[in-house]
Amino acid sequence: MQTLIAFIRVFREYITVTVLAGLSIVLIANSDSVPVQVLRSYSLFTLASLQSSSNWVATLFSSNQDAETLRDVNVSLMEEVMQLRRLRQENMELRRKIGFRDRSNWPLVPSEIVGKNLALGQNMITLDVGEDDSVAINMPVINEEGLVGKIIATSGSFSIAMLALHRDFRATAKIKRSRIDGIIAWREGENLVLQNVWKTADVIPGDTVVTSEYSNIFPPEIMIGIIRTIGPGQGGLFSRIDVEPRVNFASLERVFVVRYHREPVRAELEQRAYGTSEDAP
Amino acid sequence: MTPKMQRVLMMAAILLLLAIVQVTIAPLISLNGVVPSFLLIGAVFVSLREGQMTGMLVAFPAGLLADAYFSALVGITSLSLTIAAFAAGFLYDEEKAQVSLQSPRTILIVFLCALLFHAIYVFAYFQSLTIDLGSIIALHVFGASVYTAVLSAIPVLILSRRVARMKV
Repeated sequence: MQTLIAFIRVFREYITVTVLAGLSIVLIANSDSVPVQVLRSYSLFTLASLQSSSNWVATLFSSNQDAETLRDVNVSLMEEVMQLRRLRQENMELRRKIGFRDRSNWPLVPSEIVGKNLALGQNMITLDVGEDDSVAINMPVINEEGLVGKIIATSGSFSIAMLALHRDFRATAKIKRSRIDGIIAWREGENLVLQNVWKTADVIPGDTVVTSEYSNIFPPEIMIGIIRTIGPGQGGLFSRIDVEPRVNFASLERVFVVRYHREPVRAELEQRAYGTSEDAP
Repeated sequence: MTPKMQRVLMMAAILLLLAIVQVTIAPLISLNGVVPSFLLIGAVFVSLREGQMTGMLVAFPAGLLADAYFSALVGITSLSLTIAAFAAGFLYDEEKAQVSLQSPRTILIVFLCALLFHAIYVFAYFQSLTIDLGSIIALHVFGASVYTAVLSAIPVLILSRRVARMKV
Protein backbone atom coordinates (compact mmCIF):
# COMPACT_ATOMS: atom_id res chain seq x y z
CA MET A 1 0.00 0.00 0.00
CA GLN A 2 2.79 2.35 0.97
CA THR A 3 4.58 1.52 -2.27
CA LEU A 4 1.45 2.49 -4.19
CA ILE A 5 1.14 5.80 -2.33
CA ALA A 6 4.83 6.50 -2.94
CA PHE A 7 4.36 5.67 -6.63
CA ILE A 8 1.37 8.05 -6.89
CA ARG A 9 3.31 10.77 -5.08
CA VAL A 10 6.29 10.46 -7.43
CA PHE A 11 4.22 10.33 -10.62
CA ARG A 12 1.29 12.50 -9.53
CA GLU A 13 1.78 15.07 -12.33
CA TYR A 14 1.83 12.33 -14.97
CA ILE A 15 -1.21 10.64 -13.43
CA THR A 16 -3.08 13.99 -13.32
CA VAL A 17 -2.31 14.85 -16.94
CA THR A 18 -3.40 11.36 -18.03
CA VAL A 19 -6.66 11.58 -16.05
CA LEU A 20 -7.48 15.10 -17.31
CA ALA A 21 -6.58 14.24 -20.91
CA GLY A 22 -8.69 11.07 -20.66
CA LEU A 23 -11.60 13.06 -19.26
CA SER A 24 -11.28 15.56 -22.12
CA ILE A 25 -11.31 12.76 -24.70
CA VAL A 26 -14.41 11.22 -23.09
CA LEU A 27 -16.09 14.65 -23.26
CA ILE A 28 -15.09 15.09 -26.93
CA ALA A 29 -16.58 11.69 -27.73
CA ASN A 30 -19.82 12.57 -25.89
CA SER A 31 -20.25 16.17 -26.98
CA ASP A 32 -23.95 15.63 -27.67
CA SER A 33 -24.79 13.87 -24.38
CA VAL A 34 -27.27 15.31 -21.88
CA PRO A 35 -24.73 16.28 -19.13
CA VAL A 36 -22.65 18.17 -21.73
CA GLN A 37 -25.80 19.94 -22.95
CA VAL A 38 -26.57 20.98 -19.35
CA LEU A 39 -23.00 22.31 -18.98
CA ARG A 40 -23.50 24.17 -22.26
CA SER A 41 -26.70 25.87 -21.09
CA TYR A 42 -25.03 27.08 -17.87
CA SER A 43 -22.04 28.36 -19.82
CA LEU A 44 -24.33 29.97 -22.40
CA PHE A 45 -26.39 31.65 -19.67
CA THR A 46 -23.26 33.13 -18.03
CA LEU A 47 -21.10 34.07 -21.01
CA ALA A 48 -23.68 35.11 -23.62
CA SER A 49 -24.95 38.06 -21.57
CA LEU A 50 -21.32 39.18 -21.00
CA GLN A 51 -20.58 38.88 -24.69
CA SER A 52 -23.78 40.71 -25.57
CA SER A 53 -22.76 43.63 -23.34
CA SER A 54 -19.26 43.79 -24.91
CA ASN A 55 -20.73 44.05 -28.42
CA TRP A 56 -20.79 47.85 -28.44
CA VAL A 57 -17.00 47.84 -28.98
CA ALA A 58 -17.36 46.06 -32.32
CA THR A 59 -20.33 48.13 -33.49
CA LEU A 60 -18.40 51.39 -32.81
CA PHE A 61 -16.24 50.78 -35.89
CA SER A 62 -18.78 49.33 -38.28
CA SER A 63 -22.05 51.28 -37.90
CA ASN A 64 -21.38 54.12 -40.44
CA GLN A 65 -20.20 51.79 -43.16
CA ASP A 66 -23.09 49.45 -42.44
CA ALA A 67 -25.65 52.24 -42.80
CA GLU A 68 -24.37 53.07 -46.31
CA THR A 69 -24.37 49.42 -47.38
CA LEU A 70 -27.84 48.93 -45.94
CA ARG A 71 -29.21 51.91 -47.88
CA ASP A 72 -27.94 50.38 -51.14
CA VAL A 73 -29.32 46.97 -50.24
CA ASN A 74 -32.65 48.57 -49.31
CA VAL A 75 -33.10 50.08 -52.79
CA SER A 76 -32.39 46.82 -54.60
CA LEU A 77 -34.58 44.88 -52.14
CA MET A 78 -37.51 47.19 -52.77
CA GLU A 79 -37.28 46.45 -56.48
CA GLU A 80 -37.04 42.76 -55.72
CA VAL A 81 -40.09 42.91 -53.43
CA MET A 82 -42.20 44.46 -56.20
CA GLN A 83 -41.16 41.71 -58.57
CA LEU A 84 -41.73 38.99 -55.98
CA ARG A 85 -45.24 40.27 -55.22
CA ARG A 86 -46.15 39.91 -58.86
CA LEU A 87 -44.61 36.43 -59.02
CA ARG A 88 -46.37 35.38 -55.81
CA GLN A 89 -49.73 36.34 -57.23
CA GLU A 90 -48.96 34.38 -60.36
CA ASN A 91 -47.73 31.42 -58.33
CA MET A 92 -50.86 31.34 -56.13
CA GLU A 93 -53.09 31.22 -59.17
CA LEU A 94 -51.09 28.39 -60.72
CA ARG A 95 -51.07 26.43 -57.48
CA ARG A 96 -54.81 26.72 -57.14
CA LYS A 97 -55.18 25.44 -60.67
CA ILE A 98 -52.90 22.45 -60.22
CA GLY A 99 -54.40 21.68 -56.83
CA PHE A 100 -51.15 21.68 -54.94
CA ARG A 101 -51.43 21.49 -51.25
CA ASP A 102 -50.52 24.87 -49.82
CA ARG A 103 -47.22 24.57 -48.06
CA SER A 104 -47.30 26.45 -44.81
CA ASN A 105 -45.11 29.50 -44.29
CA TRP A 106 -42.95 28.66 -41.33
CA PRO A 107 -42.95 31.29 -38.57
CA LEU A 108 -39.65 33.17 -38.35
CA VAL A 109 -38.01 34.46 -35.17
CA PRO A 110 -35.88 37.52 -35.96
CA SER A 111 -32.60 37.54 -34.11
CA GLU A 112 -29.46 39.59 -33.70
CA ILE A 113 -26.01 37.96 -33.55
CA VAL A 114 -24.39 38.83 -30.23
CA GLY A 115 -21.28 36.69 -30.61
CA LYS A 116 -19.29 35.06 -33.37
CA ASN A 117 -16.59 32.43 -33.23
CA LEU A 118 -15.14 32.11 -36.71
CA ALA A 119 -11.68 30.97 -35.61
CA LEU A 120 -10.21 27.56 -36.37
CA GLY A 121 -13.24 26.38 -38.32
CA GLN A 122 -15.47 26.53 -35.24
CA ASN A 123 -17.88 28.82 -37.11
CA MET A 124 -20.59 29.27 -34.51
CA ILE A 125 -22.75 32.28 -33.66
CA THR A 126 -24.61 33.29 -30.51
CA LEU A 127 -28.15 34.62 -31.04
CA ASP A 128 -30.19 36.81 -28.71
CA VAL A 129 -33.23 34.50 -28.85
CA GLY A 130 -33.71 31.30 -26.89
CA GLU A 131 -36.23 28.93 -25.35
CA ASP A 132 -38.36 31.89 -24.20
CA ASP A 133 -38.91 32.69 -27.91
CA SER A 134 -39.77 29.03 -28.66
CA VAL A 135 -36.37 28.40 -30.23
CA ALA A 136 -35.28 24.76 -29.96
CA ILE A 137 -32.29 22.62 -30.90
CA ASN A 138 -32.04 21.69 -34.62
CA MET A 139 -34.20 24.59 -35.83
CA PRO A 140 -32.87 26.04 -39.10
CA VAL A 141 -31.27 29.49 -39.21
CA ILE A 142 -31.62 31.54 -42.39
CA ASN A 143 -31.32 35.11 -43.63
CA GLU A 144 -32.64 36.89 -46.72
CA GLU A 145 -29.81 35.33 -48.78
CA GLY A 146 -30.33 31.70 -47.82
CA LEU A 147 -29.31 28.95 -45.42
CA VAL A 148 -27.10 30.06 -42.53
CA GLY A 149 -27.01 27.02 -40.22
CA LYS A 150 -28.90 25.31 -37.41
CA ILE A 151 -29.41 25.72 -33.66
CA ILE A 152 -27.26 23.40 -31.53
CA ALA A 153 -27.74 24.76 -27.99
CA THR A 154 -30.29 26.93 -26.22
CA SER A 155 -30.82 28.69 -22.91
CA GLY A 156 -33.70 30.92 -21.77
CA SER A 157 -32.80 33.98 -23.80
CA PHE A 158 -29.81 32.93 -25.94
CA SER A 159 -28.99 30.19 -28.38
CA ILE A 160 -25.94 28.97 -30.32
CA ALA A 161 -26.10 28.18 -34.01
CA MET A 162 -23.67 26.07 -36.02
CA LEU A 163 -22.97 27.74 -39.36
CA ALA A 164 -23.04 25.83 -42.66
CA LEU A 165 -19.27 26.41 -42.68
CA HIS A 166 -18.78 23.99 -39.77
CA ARG A 167 -17.00 20.65 -40.07
CA ASP A 168 -19.99 18.77 -38.62
CA PHE A 169 -22.64 20.51 -40.70
CA ARG A 170 -24.59 18.38 -43.21
CA ALA A 171 -27.82 19.10 -45.09
CA THR A 172 -29.62 17.11 -47.75
CA ALA A 173 -29.73 19.29 -50.85
CA LYS A 174 -30.74 19.20 -54.46
CA ILE A 175 -29.92 20.95 -57.68
CA LYS A 176 -32.88 23.16 -58.49
CA ARG A 177 -32.74 22.67 -62.28
CA SER A 178 -32.17 18.93 -62.62
CA ARG A 179 -33.54 17.83 -59.16
CA ILE A 180 -30.36 15.78 -58.52
CA ASP A 181 -29.93 14.98 -54.80
CA GLY A 182 -26.77 15.26 -52.74
CA ILE A 183 -25.44 16.17 -49.32
CA ILE A 184 -24.01 19.58 -48.64
CA ALA A 185 -21.00 19.85 -46.33
CA TRP A 186 -18.23 22.32 -45.53
CA ARG A 187 -14.98 21.98 -47.44
CA GLU A 188 -12.60 24.72 -46.27
CA GLY A 189 -12.58 28.49 -45.95
CA GLU A 190 -15.92 29.78 -47.20
CA ASN A 191 -16.59 26.91 -49.61
CA LEU A 192 -19.17 24.15 -49.50
CA VAL A 193 -19.16 20.85 -51.34
CA LEU A 194 -22.08 18.82 -52.73
CA GLN A 195 -21.33 15.18 -51.99
CA ASN A 196 -22.73 11.86 -53.24
CA VAL A 197 -23.54 13.05 -56.76
CA TRP A 198 -22.83 10.51 -59.52
CA LYS A 199 -20.31 11.47 -62.20
CA THR A 200 -22.96 10.95 -64.88
CA ALA A 201 -25.53 13.22 -63.17
CA ASP A 202 -26.85 16.29 -64.96
CA VAL A 203 -24.89 19.04 -63.19
CA ILE A 204 -23.37 22.18 -64.70
CA PRO A 205 -21.49 25.14 -63.19
CA GLY A 206 -23.94 27.91 -62.33
CA ASP A 207 -26.67 25.52 -61.14
CA THR A 208 -28.50 26.58 -57.98
CA VAL A 209 -28.39 24.31 -54.91
CA VAL A 210 -31.33 24.37 -52.47
CA THR A 211 -32.37 22.32 -49.44
CA SER A 212 -34.20 19.12 -50.26
CA GLU A 213 -37.62 17.94 -49.07
CA TYR A 214 -35.91 14.81 -47.71
CA SER A 215 -34.27 16.74 -44.89
CA ASN A 216 -35.27 16.02 -41.31
CA ILE A 217 -34.22 19.47 -40.16
CA PHE A 218 -34.49 21.99 -42.99
CA PRO A 219 -37.61 23.00 -44.88
CA PRO A 220 -37.35 22.47 -48.65
CA GLU A 221 -36.26 25.02 -51.26
CA ILE A 222 -34.07 27.21 -49.05
CA MET A 223 -31.27 28.71 -51.14
CA ILE A 224 -27.81 27.29 -50.32
CA GLY A 225 -25.51 28.43 -53.11
CA ILE A 226 -24.29 28.23 -56.69
CA ILE A 227 -22.16 25.45 -58.21
CA ARG A 228 -18.78 26.86 -59.18
CA THR A 229 -16.60 23.94 -60.29
CA ILE A 230 -17.11 20.26 -61.03
CA GLY A 231 -14.24 17.80 -60.99
CA PRO A 232 -13.51 14.11 -60.50
CA GLY A 233 -14.11 12.99 -56.93
CA GLN A 234 -12.27 10.43 -54.85
CA GLY A 235 -12.91 6.83 -55.84
CA GLY A 236 -14.02 7.67 -59.38
CA LEU A 237 -17.77 7.13 -58.96
CA PHE A 238 -18.78 10.56 -57.71
CA SER A 239 -18.06 14.13 -58.83
CA ARG A 240 -16.40 16.72 -56.68
CA ILE A 241 -18.80 19.68 -56.80
CA ASP A 242 -17.71 22.96 -55.20
CA VAL A 243 -20.56 25.22 -54.13
CA GLU A 244 -20.20 28.91 -53.36
CA PRO A 245 -22.63 29.75 -50.54
CA ARG A 246 -25.09 32.54 -51.24
CA VAL A 247 -24.85 33.84 -47.66
CA ASN A 248 -21.98 36.17 -46.87
CA PHE A 249 -20.95 34.66 -43.53
CA ALA A 250 -18.29 37.27 -42.78
CA SER A 251 -20.81 40.11 -42.60
CA LEU A 252 -23.69 38.30 -40.89
CA GLU A 253 -25.41 40.47 -38.29
CA ARG A 254 -29.07 39.52 -38.21
CA VAL A 255 -30.68 36.17 -38.95
CA PHE A 256 -34.02 34.38 -38.63
CA VAL A 257 -34.64 31.16 -36.76
CA VAL A 258 -37.27 29.10 -38.58
CA ARG A 259 -39.73 27.48 -36.17
CA TYR A 260 -39.82 24.40 -38.37
CA HIS A 261 -40.75 20.96 -37.16
CA ARG A 262 -41.03 17.94 -39.34
CA GLU A 263 -44.55 16.50 -39.54
CA PRO A 264 -44.71 14.14 -36.51
CA VAL A 265 -46.54 11.41 -38.45
CA ARG A 266 -43.85 11.43 -41.17
CA ALA A 267 -41.06 11.49 -38.55
CA GLU A 268 -42.56 8.52 -36.74
CA LEU A 269 -43.03 6.54 -39.94
CA GLU A 270 -39.46 7.24 -41.11
CA GLN A 271 -38.12 6.36 -37.68
CA ARG A 272 -39.89 3.00 -37.89
CA ALA A 273 -38.96 2.30 -41.49
CA TYR A 274 -35.38 3.57 -41.77
CA GLY A 275 -34.35 4.11 -38.16
CA THR A 276 -33.31 7.71 -38.94
CA SER A 277 -32.95 10.03 -35.99
CA GLU A 278 -34.07 13.65 -35.60
CA ASP A 279 -30.43 14.69 -35.87
CA ALA A 280 -30.00 13.33 -39.38
CA PRO A 281 -29.54 16.10 -41.95
CA MET B 1 -6.84 28.45 4.48
CA THR B 2 -3.12 28.15 3.70
CA PRO B 3 -1.40 30.89 1.67
CA LYS B 4 -0.64 28.29 -1.03
CA MET B 5 -4.33 27.39 -1.26
CA GLN B 6 -5.29 31.06 -1.44
CA ARG B 7 -2.85 31.57 -4.30
CA VAL B 8 -4.23 28.56 -6.19
CA LEU B 9 -7.80 29.85 -5.83
CA MET B 10 -6.71 33.28 -7.03
CA MET B 11 -5.03 31.71 -10.08
CA ALA B 12 -8.20 29.72 -10.80
CA ALA B 13 -10.25 32.92 -10.60
CA ILE B 14 -7.83 34.70 -12.98
CA LEU B 15 -8.02 31.85 -15.47
CA LEU B 16 -11.83 31.78 -15.38
CA LEU B 17 -11.74 35.53 -16.00
CA LEU B 18 -9.43 34.87 -18.96
CA ALA B 19 -11.93 32.31 -20.29
CA ILE B 20 -14.52 35.11 -20.34
CA VAL B 21 -12.03 37.44 -22.05
CA GLN B 22 -11.27 34.69 -24.57
CA VAL B 23 -14.88 34.37 -25.71
CA THR B 24 -15.83 38.05 -25.47
CA ILE B 25 -12.76 40.14 -26.44
CA ALA B 26 -10.50 37.79 -28.46
CA PRO B 27 -12.85 37.54 -31.51
CA LEU B 28 -12.81 41.35 -31.75
CA ILE B 29 -9.02 41.48 -32.20
CA SER B 30 -8.70 38.54 -34.59
CA LEU B 31 -6.42 39.06 -37.63
CA ASN B 32 -7.50 37.20 -40.76
CA GLY B 33 -9.33 34.67 -38.61
CA VAL B 34 -6.34 34.15 -36.31
CA VAL B 35 -7.32 34.57 -32.68
CA PRO B 36 -4.77 34.83 -29.82
CA SER B 37 -5.26 32.58 -26.84
CA PHE B 38 -5.46 34.55 -23.60
CA LEU B 39 -6.27 31.30 -21.84
CA LEU B 40 -2.96 29.82 -22.93
CA ILE B 41 -0.99 32.85 -21.73
CA GLY B 42 -2.75 32.53 -18.35
CA ALA B 43 -2.17 28.78 -18.13
CA VAL B 44 1.56 29.10 -18.95
CA PHE B 45 2.02 31.89 -16.41
CA VAL B 46 0.27 29.84 -13.71
CA SER B 47 2.43 26.78 -14.51
CA LEU B 48 5.64 28.84 -14.41
CA ARG B 49 4.57 30.54 -11.17
CA GLU B 50 2.93 27.67 -9.25
CA GLY B 51 4.11 24.50 -10.96
CA GLN B 52 2.79 21.77 -13.21
CA MET B 53 0.04 20.45 -10.94
CA THR B 54 -1.62 23.82 -10.23
CA GLY B 55 -1.26 24.83 -13.86
CA MET B 56 -3.10 21.74 -15.08
CA LEU B 57 -5.78 21.87 -12.39
CA VAL B 58 -6.77 25.46 -13.24
CA ALA B 59 -6.29 25.12 -17.01
CA PHE B 60 -8.72 22.22 -17.30
CA PRO B 61 -11.92 23.90 -15.96
CA ALA B 62 -11.10 27.16 -17.74
CA GLY B 63 -10.76 25.32 -21.06
CA LEU B 64 -13.96 23.43 -20.35
CA LEU B 65 -15.88 26.67 -19.73
CA ALA B 66 -14.67 28.12 -23.05
CA ASP B 67 -15.50 24.84 -24.82
CA ALA B 68 -18.98 24.55 -23.37
CA TYR B 69 -19.77 28.00 -24.64
CA PHE B 70 -18.24 28.10 -28.07
CA SER B 71 -17.15 24.74 -29.36
CA ALA B 72 -18.94 21.84 -31.03
CA LEU B 73 -16.40 19.51 -29.44
CA VAL B 74 -16.57 20.02 -25.69
CA GLY B 75 -13.22 19.00 -24.18
CA ILE B 76 -10.96 20.02 -27.07
CA THR B 77 -9.66 23.27 -25.49
CA SER B 78 -9.38 21.67 -22.05
CA LEU B 79 -7.30 18.83 -23.55
CA SER B 80 -4.94 21.15 -25.43
CA LEU B 81 -4.67 23.60 -22.54
CA THR B 82 -3.99 20.91 -19.91
CA ILE B 83 -1.17 19.43 -21.99
CA ALA B 84 0.30 22.89 -22.71
CA ALA B 85 0.21 23.70 -18.96
CA PHE B 86 1.86 20.34 -18.23
CA ALA B 87 4.63 21.11 -20.73
CA ALA B 88 5.17 24.63 -19.36
CA GLY B 89 5.41 23.16 -15.86
CA PHE B 90 8.68 21.41 -16.75
CA LEU B 91 10.32 24.85 -16.74
CA TYR B 92 8.98 25.70 -13.28
CA ASP B 93 11.71 26.61 -10.85
CA GLU B 94 10.41 27.01 -7.29
CA GLU B 95 13.22 29.35 -6.22
CA LYS B 96 13.17 31.54 -9.32
CA ALA B 97 9.43 31.44 -10.05
CA GLN B 98 8.96 35.18 -9.46
CA VAL B 99 12.01 36.17 -11.51
CA SER B 100 11.46 33.87 -14.47
CA LEU B 101 8.10 35.45 -15.34
CA GLN B 102 9.72 38.83 -16.03
CA SER B 103 12.35 37.42 -18.34
CA PRO B 104 11.94 37.60 -22.16
CA ARG B 105 12.45 33.83 -22.03
CA THR B 106 8.80 33.62 -20.92
CA ILE B 107 7.68 34.88 -24.35
CA LEU B 108 9.61 32.07 -26.00
CA ILE B 109 8.05 29.55 -23.58
CA VAL B 110 4.59 30.93 -24.38
CA PHE B 111 5.36 30.61 -28.11
CA LEU B 112 6.48 26.98 -27.79
CA CYS B 113 3.49 26.09 -25.60
CA ALA B 114 1.20 27.90 -28.06
CA LEU B 115 2.62 25.76 -30.89
CA LEU B 116 1.86 22.65 -28.85
CA PHE B 117 -1.61 23.91 -27.85
CA HIS B 118 -2.67 24.83 -31.40
CA ALA B 119 -1.11 21.69 -32.90
CA ILE B 120 -3.13 19.43 -30.56
CA TYR B 121 -6.24 21.52 -31.15
CA VAL B 122 -5.92 21.49 -34.94
CA PHE B 123 -5.07 17.79 -35.04
CA ALA B 124 -8.09 16.86 -32.90
CA TYR B 125 -10.43 19.22 -34.74
CA PHE B 126 -9.48 18.72 -38.38
CA GLN B 127 -8.41 15.06 -38.34
CA SER B 128 -11.57 13.83 -40.06
CA LEU B 129 -11.50 16.40 -42.88
CA THR B 130 -9.81 16.16 -46.26
CA ILE B 131 -8.61 19.76 -46.38
CA ASP B 132 -5.40 21.60 -47.10
CA LEU B 133 -3.68 20.95 -43.78
CA GLY B 134 -0.61 23.00 -44.80
CA SER B 135 -2.47 26.30 -44.91
CA ILE B 136 -4.35 25.45 -41.70
CA ILE B 137 -1.04 24.78 -39.91
CA ALA B 138 0.56 27.95 -41.30
CA LEU B 139 -2.35 30.14 -40.29
CA HIS B 140 -3.93 28.57 -37.24
CA VAL B 141 -0.92 26.88 -35.63
CA PHE B 142 2.05 29.08 -36.49
CA GLY B 143 0.12 32.34 -36.97
CA ALA B 144 -1.94 31.97 -33.80
CA SER B 145 1.17 30.97 -31.81
CA VAL B 146 3.09 34.06 -32.94
CA TYR B 147 0.09 36.29 -32.15
CA THR B 148 -0.30 34.73 -28.67
CA ALA B 149 3.46 35.05 -27.96
CA VAL B 150 3.44 38.71 -29.03
CA LEU B 151 0.53 39.43 -26.68
CA SER B 152 2.28 37.60 -23.83
CA ALA B 153 4.96 40.31 -23.96
CA ILE B 154 2.45 42.68 -22.32
CA PRO B 155 2.22 40.89 -18.93
CA VAL B 156 5.98 40.16 -19.05
CA LEU B 157 6.75 43.87 -19.51
CA ILE B 158 4.26 44.88 -16.79
CA LEU B 159 5.83 42.42 -14.32
CA SER B 160 9.42 43.45 -15.13
CA ARG B 161 8.53 47.16 -14.75
CA ARG B 162 6.85 46.51 -11.41
CA VAL B 163 9.93 44.73 -10.10
CA ALA B 164 12.23 47.48 -11.43
CA ARG B 165 10.13 50.10 -9.61
CA MET B 166 10.20 48.06 -6.40
CA LYS B 167 14.03 47.89 -6.58
CA VAL B 168 14.28 51.70 -6.92
